[in-house]
Amino acid sequence: MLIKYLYIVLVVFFILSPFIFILYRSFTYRTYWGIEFVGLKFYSEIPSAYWRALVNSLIVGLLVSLIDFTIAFPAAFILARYEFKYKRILTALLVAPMFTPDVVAGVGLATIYIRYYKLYGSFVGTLLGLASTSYPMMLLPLFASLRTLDPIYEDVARTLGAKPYQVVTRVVLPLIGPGIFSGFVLTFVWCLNNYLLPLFITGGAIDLLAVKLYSDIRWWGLLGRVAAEASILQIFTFIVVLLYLKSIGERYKGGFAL
Amino acid sequence: MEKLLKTSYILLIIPTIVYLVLFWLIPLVNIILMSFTRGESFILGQPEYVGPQNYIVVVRDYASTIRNTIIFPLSAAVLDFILGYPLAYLLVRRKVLFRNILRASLIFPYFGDIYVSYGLWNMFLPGGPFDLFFNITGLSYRQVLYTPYAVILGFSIFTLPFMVLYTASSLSEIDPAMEEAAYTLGASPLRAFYQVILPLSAPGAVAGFIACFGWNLGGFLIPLLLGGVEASDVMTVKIVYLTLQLHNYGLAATLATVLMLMTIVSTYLTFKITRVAG
Repeated sequence: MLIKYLYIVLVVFFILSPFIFILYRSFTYRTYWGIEFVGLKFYSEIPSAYWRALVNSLIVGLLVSLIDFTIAFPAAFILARYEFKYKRILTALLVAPMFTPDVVAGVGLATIYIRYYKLYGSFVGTLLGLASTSYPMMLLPLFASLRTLDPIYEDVARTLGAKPYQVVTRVVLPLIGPGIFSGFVLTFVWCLNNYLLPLFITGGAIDLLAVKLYSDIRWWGLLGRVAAEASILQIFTFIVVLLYLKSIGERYKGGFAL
Repeated sequence: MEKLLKTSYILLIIPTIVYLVLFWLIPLVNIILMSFTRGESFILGQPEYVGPQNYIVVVRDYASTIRNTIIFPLSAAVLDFILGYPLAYLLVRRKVLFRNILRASLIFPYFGDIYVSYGLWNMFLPGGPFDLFFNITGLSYRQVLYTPYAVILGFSIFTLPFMVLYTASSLSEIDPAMEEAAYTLGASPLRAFYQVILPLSAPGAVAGFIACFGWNLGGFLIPLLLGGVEASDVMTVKIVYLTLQLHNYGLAATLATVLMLMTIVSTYLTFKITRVAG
């Protein structure tokens, strides 16, 4: 019993120690004589460009989640409802972008953006690029919740004379609401924290929070201000994830949590 | 009529496929094409094809990079297995308090290697919590930070959730009666574990192992920050350096192709094993 909890506490501490230590760093300053508590001093030192990037990131995150939903919903619906040839291969291909390393996706997208699409450094290009590796995170919860939803509801709506789009908007979407929410949270948080893909495709034209944080960590990593910046983003992520886990039932997570 | 309707519904998937082709498949194909060209020539629109020259350079000069790219994630996956398997077992079989917080902390590292690498880096620097450890053992922090050990530690924290996730899903499918039957038949807990639970949960554990490996192949900031000069010799870091600093896109694309192949193989194996499992 005791060993069990000791073990769990140890492993959780192992996972969380970097996160906790950044938080601790953002409130303290180490001098030659010891450790000094500085309160919110480092937080007040955060430049205004950081807050602008935060707003940018929130907007980009929301828009990318919307694009992800548009891309993923028809696919999830058809994969969950119909059987057809090559369905297995198609499913694997649709989920594969999630497993593509960001570096590879970044180099590839930068290349075609510069050579063919002329989207390099543009807002639309950034959104579509971010969506390309994140939409499986929307697809999986949607697919999981659609598969567990009994098709009888759709049949009933259809017999009662609903048009196909009415079946979707009035019956299917409300019934899989938690699955949609689940997908939005996952893609949104993922976008907020992705620095590698924007590094390749924005060309520095759009300030995103994670990219700014990445360059701050690289060049000013020892400053307390950077620890404060990182803390804000990670606390935000943690709260969103915690609320998400508390509010969503098991079957809507699409294999994304225990 | 019914059949026609069904076909027309299935056609709704086409926009998604078009998007997938435009923003995922074409970039990957272009990377492969670019790996046969010199420097920036492909990206600027006048590709100079040089044959397999880039691949020869990779085999000649980047052998250590490829070796590290395989060894670091592999060691991290082993560490994850040792730490994650018991945790998954406890989560599935025993009642645990604060389950939600536990789950949230498990899902947390998913969302970025920024915090894992930055936090660990700060912890290992002088003034961090490892000072005491370094004082007692007489080591210098430089003997841990900027070595492969730090990178492997970072990787294993980053991917521990995958291991727990896959193993737990496989463990939860085992009927507890199996375990009880082993006990009733007189098996010691250790024997019951080795001969009943471990073989039955093996597919999940193996899938978790490969998933950990695959995700860490793409890790960038962890080797960059924790690996210093020598231990950051992995493919992602080299690709970023080659593209953003040296503009040698041909060589970078070659490395990216190799990295992609490694990811495809590991992802394929994960899928294959999880399908066998359930």
